[in-house]
Amino acid sequence: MKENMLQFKKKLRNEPLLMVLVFTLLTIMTFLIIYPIARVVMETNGEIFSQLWTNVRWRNSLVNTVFITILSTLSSTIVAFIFAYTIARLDVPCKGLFRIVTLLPIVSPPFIVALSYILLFGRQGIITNHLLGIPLDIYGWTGLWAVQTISFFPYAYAVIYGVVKAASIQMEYAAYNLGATKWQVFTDVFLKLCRPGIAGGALVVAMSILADFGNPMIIGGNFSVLSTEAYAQMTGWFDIPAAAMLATTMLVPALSLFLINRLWVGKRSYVTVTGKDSSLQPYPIAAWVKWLLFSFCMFVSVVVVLVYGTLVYGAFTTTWGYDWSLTLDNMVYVVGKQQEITNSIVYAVCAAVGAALLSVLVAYLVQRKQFGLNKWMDFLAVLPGAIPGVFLSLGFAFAFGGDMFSLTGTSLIIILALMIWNLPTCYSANAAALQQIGPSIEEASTNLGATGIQTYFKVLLPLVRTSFISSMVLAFLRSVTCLSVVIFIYSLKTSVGTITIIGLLSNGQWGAASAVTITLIGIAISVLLLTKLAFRLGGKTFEI
Amino acid sequence: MFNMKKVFSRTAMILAATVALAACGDENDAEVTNTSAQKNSSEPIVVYSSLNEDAMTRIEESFEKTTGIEMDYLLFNSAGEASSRVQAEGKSPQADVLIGGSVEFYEPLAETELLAQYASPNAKDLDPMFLNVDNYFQGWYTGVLAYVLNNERFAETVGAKGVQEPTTWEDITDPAYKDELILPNPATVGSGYIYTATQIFRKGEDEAFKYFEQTAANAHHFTASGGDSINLVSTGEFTIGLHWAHDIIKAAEKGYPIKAIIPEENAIEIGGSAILAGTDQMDESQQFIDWLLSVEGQELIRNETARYSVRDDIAPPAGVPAFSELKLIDYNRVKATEMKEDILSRFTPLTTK
Repeated sequence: MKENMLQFKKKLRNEPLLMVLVFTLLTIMTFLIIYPIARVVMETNGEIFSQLWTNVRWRNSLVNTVFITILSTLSSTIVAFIFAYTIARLDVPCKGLFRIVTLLPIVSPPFIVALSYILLFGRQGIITNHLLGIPLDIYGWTGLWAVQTISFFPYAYAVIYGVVKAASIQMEYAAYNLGATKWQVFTDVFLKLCRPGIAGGALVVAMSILADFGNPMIIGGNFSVLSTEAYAQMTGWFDIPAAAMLATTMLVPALSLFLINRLWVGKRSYVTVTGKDSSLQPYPIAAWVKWLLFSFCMFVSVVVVLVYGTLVYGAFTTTWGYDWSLTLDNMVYVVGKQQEITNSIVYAVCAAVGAALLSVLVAYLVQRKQFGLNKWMDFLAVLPGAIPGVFLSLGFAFAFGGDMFSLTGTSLIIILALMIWNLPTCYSANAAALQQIGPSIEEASTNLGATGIQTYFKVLLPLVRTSFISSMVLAFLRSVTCLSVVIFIYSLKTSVGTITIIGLLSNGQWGAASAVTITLIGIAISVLLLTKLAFRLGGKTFEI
Repeated sequence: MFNMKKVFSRTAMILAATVALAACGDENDAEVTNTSAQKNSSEPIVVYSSLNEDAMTRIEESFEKTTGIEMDYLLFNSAGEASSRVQAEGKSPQADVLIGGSVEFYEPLAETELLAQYASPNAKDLDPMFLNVDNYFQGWYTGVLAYVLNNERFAETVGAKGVQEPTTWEDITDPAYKDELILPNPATVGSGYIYTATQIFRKGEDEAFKYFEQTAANAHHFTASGGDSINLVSTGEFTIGLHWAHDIIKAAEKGYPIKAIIPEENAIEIGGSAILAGTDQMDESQQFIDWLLSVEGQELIRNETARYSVRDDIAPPAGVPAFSELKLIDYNRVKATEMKEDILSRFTPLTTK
């Protein structure tokens, strides 16, 4: 503490400009992150909290939320790990398909999966009923579990793949040479090296599942969860204390998860970057294991492809789920909803660029400058990762919808909310990239006479280019497909594609909803491919 | 060729500058938006609606054509969502008019003075039951509760057990409907609560709750939105559900093998419309309400949505009995609103089994 104070005073004296920047950033971040949280918590009171346990439906929602979050997180993380391992380490065919399968759910609004799922596996399901003849009851936690696993495993995959790819093969060879068995190498070396990735991936997934409310709404049946209950209280009853209480309750498991993750992974460095590319081939594993993993990935891929195939087909049929004759009628809704679709794209681009730039700046300051408040800034940058989307939306509605800072009905409120929501994703990627770059490069730049700003733009930004672009694209995709963050803050001129989709769904216009969905997916994929192409032309590539 | 690093750092710099500018620019925008929130008459009126997209497109088209006044609309998934939005925006609303959803949602808005009083000249012909005594809102359509039955699935499931199609509220307590029935959750769906209150008015609270236990035992689950009942029965996931007759008729028109069955001892919803108190386009908003209650507006809502008109001089929608022939119970709206909280806290345990 005392040391921090000293650092702080010294910096204030020596680099006043830097400190102005630090203060500005801290003020903005506190205002955009802490203030909305505080507003939601302030709406609650002790009395309403005591009802959480006495009200049967709320108590069930709490128990259900914890239950489904644990279950779906486990399954998503396992599926993600198997995909990451198979794609990164095994010599099997169809890797291209597997990669696409890990991408599709990211570029589509998650809740749409539930719709196809009902059609394929419901009581009248094409597969369960007509093909296999087994009546399956998917309404409730079982269906929700399956849908959430498919919708969210790609988020864990994105994180885990990077770590599996980076895990040093040399170390495994070293272990083999020391006489370890394959299983020992796997558990004691490989898994340990992947631990931060797996934990990070699981965290991302757990947060998404905790906050998910599209899927529970469509397929949950009587299985109520906190996010849907908070939404029902807000929109069905306009009971703000109850909605705020339920949202605050969601914050508790979210923050715990976040703390557990930090403590478990800790500050140990797992990165084994040597600066040289390893030319070693992965140590071969038993053929039956390899093909077992391959079959598993194939099975999941077939389900995902079926789910999205149904969606595309459904968009061009007369009556979703009943009359499968082809029509272009649903495209009328796509044309009529141009403004919403345009808004989706514009907001996502702004939010993604904002989040990526802010995150690099924050990561740089936190890691390279000792100004005594590093921990606070680091905490602010990762905190939004622990805030469920519905909570954030409610917080922004309270904080910036009122009389004090009225942003009601503006595009800015949506862009800022999406930017904050994406900040942790971008920050963790860019901070990790920055960590692997030795400070000597900047010292060299400074010694050669460059100013801090020049060093930042000409040395640091180019060095973290890959993670910068990847995180920006990921933030874009997350924003385009996001429903929860927007749900309480959209207005006439600022409505977005996902709002349109959920509206069409609740009116039973499932075909039209599919049509708007595949349009959004199409746009998201185009942006992804264009960015990839642009960077490939520049001789660079990035992973997502 | 060219220096990638240079290109990249330049791009990053430009992006950073753009964002910084955009951030400042947006703040200005916000101010501009705020001032322009006080609209001038050349701007379109804004309607918050919980009707569906198709109906709103037609209403917009006809209204603009007839009056020359431009309108814009924002759709909400339910009347609850729309009225929540009006409450949230309070005295400085982003809209001028609220339409759709049962008048029960309009009562609390009138009490908190969020609605403007207006006595439309076109309202003088209407039965007073459709109107608010203080002219804060006016009913402009009405609809009746109905079962939505999937003919094909009924033949395979309940019908196969020798049970006839249901005609009364009691019929769905037959164990043959076990897990074939879905009901709207009265806590979140307007039709669900009116159905629940109807049973209480019909049988008294204790008898009604015996009935609810039987229906809850048969119900596969309670749906969070009213449309779900129709959607899931339409695609044959379940045999029978419950919602507004007009919504069922519209879904059947799309080609689904479903029909609406209107039981006796029924109740109606009265669809509301109101001008928001903070509007600065009072004249245009009043013209919109006038139009809604006009013969043209009423025929349009009947044709587009299969709802009953509130006017006597308009024929009922195709496929349903005349409004005067419906067998309705004496539904006390004031009492229904008063007892809502108690009834729901007693009902809710049934929805979480």
